[in-house]
Amino acid sequence: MSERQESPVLVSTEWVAKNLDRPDVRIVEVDYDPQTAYYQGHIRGAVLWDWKKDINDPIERNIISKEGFELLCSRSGISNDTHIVLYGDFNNWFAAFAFWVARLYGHEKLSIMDGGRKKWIAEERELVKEVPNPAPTTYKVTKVRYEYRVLLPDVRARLGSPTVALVDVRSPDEYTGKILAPPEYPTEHAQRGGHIPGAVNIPWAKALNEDGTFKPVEELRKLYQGLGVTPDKEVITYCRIGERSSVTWFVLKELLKYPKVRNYDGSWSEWGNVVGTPIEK
Amino acid sequence: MIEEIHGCGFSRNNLYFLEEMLWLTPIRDRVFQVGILPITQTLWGKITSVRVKKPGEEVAADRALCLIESRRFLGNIRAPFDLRVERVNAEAVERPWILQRGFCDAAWLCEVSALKDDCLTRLKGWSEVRGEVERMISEKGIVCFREVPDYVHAAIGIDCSQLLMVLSDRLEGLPEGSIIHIVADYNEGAERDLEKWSRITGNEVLDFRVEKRLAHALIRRRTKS
Repeated sequence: MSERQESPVLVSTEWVAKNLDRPDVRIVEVDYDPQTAYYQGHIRGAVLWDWKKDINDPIERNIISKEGFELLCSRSGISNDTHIVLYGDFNNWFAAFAFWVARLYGHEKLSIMDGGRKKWIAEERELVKEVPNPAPTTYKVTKVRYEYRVLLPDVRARLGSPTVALVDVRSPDEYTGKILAPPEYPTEHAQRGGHIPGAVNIPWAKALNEDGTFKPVEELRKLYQGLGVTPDKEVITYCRIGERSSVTWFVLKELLKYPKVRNYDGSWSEWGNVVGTPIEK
Repeated sequence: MIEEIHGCGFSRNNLYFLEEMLWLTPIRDRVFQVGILPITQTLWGKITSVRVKKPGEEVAADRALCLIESRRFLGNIRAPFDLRVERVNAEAVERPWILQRGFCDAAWLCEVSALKDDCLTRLKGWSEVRGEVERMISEKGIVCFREVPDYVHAAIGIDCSQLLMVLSDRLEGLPEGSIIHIVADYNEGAERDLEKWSRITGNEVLDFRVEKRLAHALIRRRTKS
């Protein structure tokens, strides 16, 4: 059995198919667009977390609050010792974001289904339309791992530090400033293009196989270390809004076990819009 | 023998399996060419990848014939009857959006042979599905073009004097040569203004149509060369 298969943070579609009825397991589909994903059919028993409505603050630009996360878990039938298995659309981008948020709020038993919704469908596994109605719980956040997140002033304070590795996971055209946002998200563009000074460009997709599963750990290690992203450094990942960078955060923190990895969820849609932030092209 | 509804073409000689958005052309005894309905342009957005079963593979009815991925759709397209895949159109696999071009017979996906005699029971002729197709097109505001747009931009409610500015801004953020479908409120001078703007900017108006008092324009972003 490979190191990857043993990793509890990553479970296969086969594992999910075998374990989805267990009372200590809660399957959660995390979607950017539930209308074209969850509501068209989902894994039996899976509850929906809508990325925009459920994992983000409803008013200010921020992740969900501690109290909000407690309510979300409670209404999803999740207790503190439930094993949460996340999967979703768009190559698990938003599932990875939810994973990062759940880790930040201290949830221990947490996995991503390797390959996400795409692999489940490609394997012609069962999809249902019934929306489950789990019995509510009383979930309590007992610790918050603030060290998994970084905000703009802290990124700025670390610029030029040889002990910090900044990883820009966007496409090369976004990194170089050729485009201000991916064409399919025109409203999310920044005032300026480019990248945070010193950041190395390692697009998120380099960590995945064609079927959406993660590459083997050794291959991933070579990829990041070969570009100077080594475990002795404090690593900061960012993209445009923090979801693609959650995939890379997951790889570095959870699969490669780097000790210090932080997701800068403000990402380029913050950095590229704030007056006076330095930019490299 | 093509019938056109809102730019979407349907062959009167084809058979249809609407549940899975398929058209089928009988080419020999129990052998069919299979393609995807053009109305998926609007319903799914541009198809970005298609994975079809390989030639020689047998597929039971209701099992996946292919996996399709587009901007708004990810799903299996299920076989209408027990079949064997005979040929796959390599061009359609390479550039899957050609399957969605406005007219039904624009590109086929695969050729299949039926394994049983009852293969026609779930397929319907054009006259049987016409009403349902018309209803779907009307209810979902479907419009088809001969070129499949890469992006759609809804500019409904924007004042006509601002529309061309919005359009120019939107095009600036797109890769050269990409195609955008703009939907806006119709006003009488819209087509003329768009043509004038096209001559000045070098962006090409590929199609312009008015459906249900909305103007639909298909525009290709200029290339520098």
